[in-house]
Order: sequence, then structure tokens, then C-alpha cells
Amino acid sequence: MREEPSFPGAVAPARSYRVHSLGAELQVHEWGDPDALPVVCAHGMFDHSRGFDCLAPLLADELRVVAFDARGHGDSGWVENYTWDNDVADIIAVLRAAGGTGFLLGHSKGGGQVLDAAIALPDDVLGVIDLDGFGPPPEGFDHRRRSEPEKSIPERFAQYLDFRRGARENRSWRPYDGFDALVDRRSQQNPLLSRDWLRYFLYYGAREDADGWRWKVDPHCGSGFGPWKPDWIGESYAQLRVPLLAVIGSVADTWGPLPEDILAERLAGVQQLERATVEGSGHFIHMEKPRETAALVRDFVARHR
Amino acid sequence: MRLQVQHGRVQLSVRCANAETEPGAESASAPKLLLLHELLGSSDDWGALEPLWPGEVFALDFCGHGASDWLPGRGYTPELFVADADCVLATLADEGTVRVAGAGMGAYVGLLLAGARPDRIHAALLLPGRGFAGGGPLPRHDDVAAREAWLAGIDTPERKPGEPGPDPLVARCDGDIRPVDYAEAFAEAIAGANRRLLVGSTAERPAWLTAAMASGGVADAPDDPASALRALAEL
Repeated sequence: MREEPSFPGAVAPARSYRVHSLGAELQVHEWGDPDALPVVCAHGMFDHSRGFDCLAPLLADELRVVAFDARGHGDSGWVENYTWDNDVADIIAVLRAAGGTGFLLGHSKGGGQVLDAAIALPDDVLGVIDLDGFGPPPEGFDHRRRSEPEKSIPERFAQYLDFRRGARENRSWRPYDGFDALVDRRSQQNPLLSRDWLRYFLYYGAREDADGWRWKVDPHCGSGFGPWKPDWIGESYAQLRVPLLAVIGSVADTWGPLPEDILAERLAGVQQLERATVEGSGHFIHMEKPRETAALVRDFVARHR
Repeated sequence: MRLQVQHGRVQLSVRCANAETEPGAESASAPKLLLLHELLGSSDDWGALEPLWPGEVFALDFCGHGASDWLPGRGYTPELFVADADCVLATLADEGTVRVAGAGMGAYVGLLLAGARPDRIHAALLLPGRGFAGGGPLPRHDDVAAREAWLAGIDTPERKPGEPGPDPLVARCDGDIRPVDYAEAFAEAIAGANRRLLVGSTAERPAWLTAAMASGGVADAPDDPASALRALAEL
């Protein structure tokens, strides 16, 4: 077995517990005084809550930092169909378990979802910090990888149905020969994240069994199907009634940031908007630049608590 | 008689009628019929109509309904209900001979299934019922009442052992967004494969259906479900 890793500045959670939400058991971790004002942190797709291990200790002297594994991710339970709405409901369940009133912070997919949770709970959420989670570009994240002509909606839906027919069997990742092979894989996808950080972060996002190392995340996450249009994003954001701190990194990578004109259009209807750019950071702002992220969060919280 | 069909971790219950041999086996020339109930309904809704069909009938309980399991994690969507129906379709032999009749949400599910599987679905009959309209073609971001109803649903308890009836959370599909171009794409796939859609003439015409009907290959069905089923059998 591999020893529990360490990373400069990373601090393990002070407390851990489970929250039940709509048929899923969610793994929750906390840092800081349990009587302090909570900030609930939602991670991005295929990540997990320990990605906040560097940011959380930089906030924990004044906030109760509450990070949780989204359903299907990390040590939370797997479900049968992953929907955006239920992810948003989970954020609300965790906020309620932490006292019901506080700030929400989310990265990437979690950023979009904390925004929707705040729209649903305008009286309980004091403010939202969204770390580069403003939806995919209009052409989608994967357009650069497409080599074949795009399939029609019914053709893609038929593929989804084929996948669902095998949903009982096709539910495990291939094992990697060793932990470093897993780090190599993620490093290819996120070259801006250091290998030392990935060794720390991925240790909590994978487990070792007799065949090698496998991701903990449910391979079915992100496999849902339904109608959705990028145009709907800005219209939804315009419903936000609490302050929003919208943060991006200055370095373009695979996952962000959006072209400025598209981001500005999506944020145009937000009434209490603050924007910030973290110099030298790519998409994983809280992992790449935790100190700069913490300074922005502390300043925002101080003005809106 | 009931069939148990597995969809992922969910066991679906299917009521079978008019089976001469093993349900779903390669058999007589009479077409098979797959019945898809309305939102919050069940396979029992079709009881009176099943004897009117000339071949085997398979009436599905969607997940979260009737005798089928509730969905672990409770993320109900019409597209997942289509996948339920598709798992039943996979168990039926006789390529290309299955017809589908759906009521309410089951009608919308029937459209999507027929558009995705035109090689297996000869024709689909769309009848009125709960969940027929859905939530409209676009999100209603400023609908505060809908948001409050959604919030209230978060506290819907888990199923107690032996508790009958549908999962109350399936009712969220009443608000399902059905964009016009989405429905159109499925209707066009049906028409392009020379398959047919029949629409109950008394059914309301939500935007998704109007769009589907503009794509061709659609005919009005008689008012009463029994006559409509006969029309489906004769196609």
C-alpha cells in the first residue's frame, strides 16, 4: 500500500461526515471553527473535495470551510442517473447540514452549480464565488477532438441507449499498473498541475485493488442525455439575487477560460457582479494559486458577510 | 404475467398479455405492442385495451412507477425512461415489428424511442395523458413558483419498505424542457426511415408535438384509444 502523501500547504480536513441527499450518501469534509460562517465548496467534474486541501486552510481561521464529494465522485455514493438538478440539490443539502446560511464556492462544473443553488436560495446564500465555472464554449469542450462529422441528435441518443443497455456491466475503470501511471494520465490532461500536486490530489481520488489503481469516480458520471443549449446559461445567471465573484485564470488551457466576449455575455445580466483574474493560473485556480484565490475569497466574504 | 427486465441496477416490471409462447419469443406474424404509461401512471392503466391488440402486448412500468424499482439517486428524466423502454425492446425478438403506444409522458418517450430506433419501431401512437406537454420548449428561469416546488421536492423522503405507488419525484418530469428542434430531429428520423407517427386527435398540441407533426410521416388517430390502437395495428 502507498503511504498517505503530503504536499506543501495542504492540510487534511479536521472533521468528516456523511450527508444524505436524494438517494445519495455524500462525503463531507470540514476545516475551521464549526461555529464560524460556512462556505460550501463544490468541485469540478471528475475531481473531488480534497482538491480544496490547499485553499481550505487559508480560509479556516475565519470561515467554516465545508467541501464535499459530488455524487458519484470521491467517497460519495454512486447513483443510477446523474442530473444537474440533483447535484444542485446536493449543494443545498450540504449547506443546510452546515447551518443553512453561508457562502457558496464552486470550481468548473461546481461553479455553475453553486450559482444555480444560490438562485434557488436567495435568502440563505450570502454570496457566490465561481472559479471558472461558466459553462462550456458554444461549440463544446471536445470540438478539437472531433474528427468525424457530428452525428444527429437521434444518432447520438441511440449511442446513449446502447450505453444504457450495458449499464450493468460497463461500470468499472481499467486498472492502471501503478499509481504513477494514473498520475501520468491526469498530467496529460492537465499539464499545468504539478506532478507533486497530482500525486497528492489523485491519492484521494483513486484506490488500489488486486489489479492495480482505479479512479474512484463513477464512470457513468457525465453520461446523461437531454436537451440543453449554451444560450440558456446567461438567462439563468440573470436570476441571481446575491453577489457573485467571477474568477478566471489568465492562462488558457483545455478547460478555460471562455473567450471574453462569450463570458461577458453570459455574465451581463448578473446584478451584483465582481470579476477577478488570477495571473499565471489556468483552469484549476484553487489548486494552482491557492494563496491568490484565498485573498480574493477573504476580501469578498469580508464585504458581503 | 410479468417479465423482469434489468436496466442498470434497476429492475423493471413489464406486464405481458396475449403471449402464446414464451413472452417476447420469435412467434406469430401479429405485431408486438409496447405500451408506455403516463407520468405517475403504471402498466395497469392499459388493462382494458390489451385484449384489443392482435398480438403480444408488453406494458412497462417505468422506473419509479408501478412494480418497478425506484431509481437509486432519483434522477428521473424522460430520456432515462426511454432507456427503460429500450431495455425492454432489447429483450423482444422479431426485428422491425414492434409498435409503440404511449400516453402523456409515455407519448413523448415513444417519439424519442421511435426516432432513435427506427430499425425496431414500425410506428408509434401518441395519446394524451399526464406529462404530455412537459415544461415547454424553453427554460422558464423566472418561474418562481416552479423553483419553490423544486426546492420543496428536495426533502421528498426515500421509499419505505413495501410503500406502494410512484416516487413523487417523477413528477419533476412535468417541467421537462422539450425544445422544438430536439423533437423535430426525432420526428425527422422517423419520417426519414419511412416509419410512422399517429397522434391522438384529441391530444393538445404542445410546441414539441407541433414541431414533430411538421416533419411529415404523421397522421391523426381516432379519438378513442381502442380505435386508435386498431389504426396502429393496421399501419
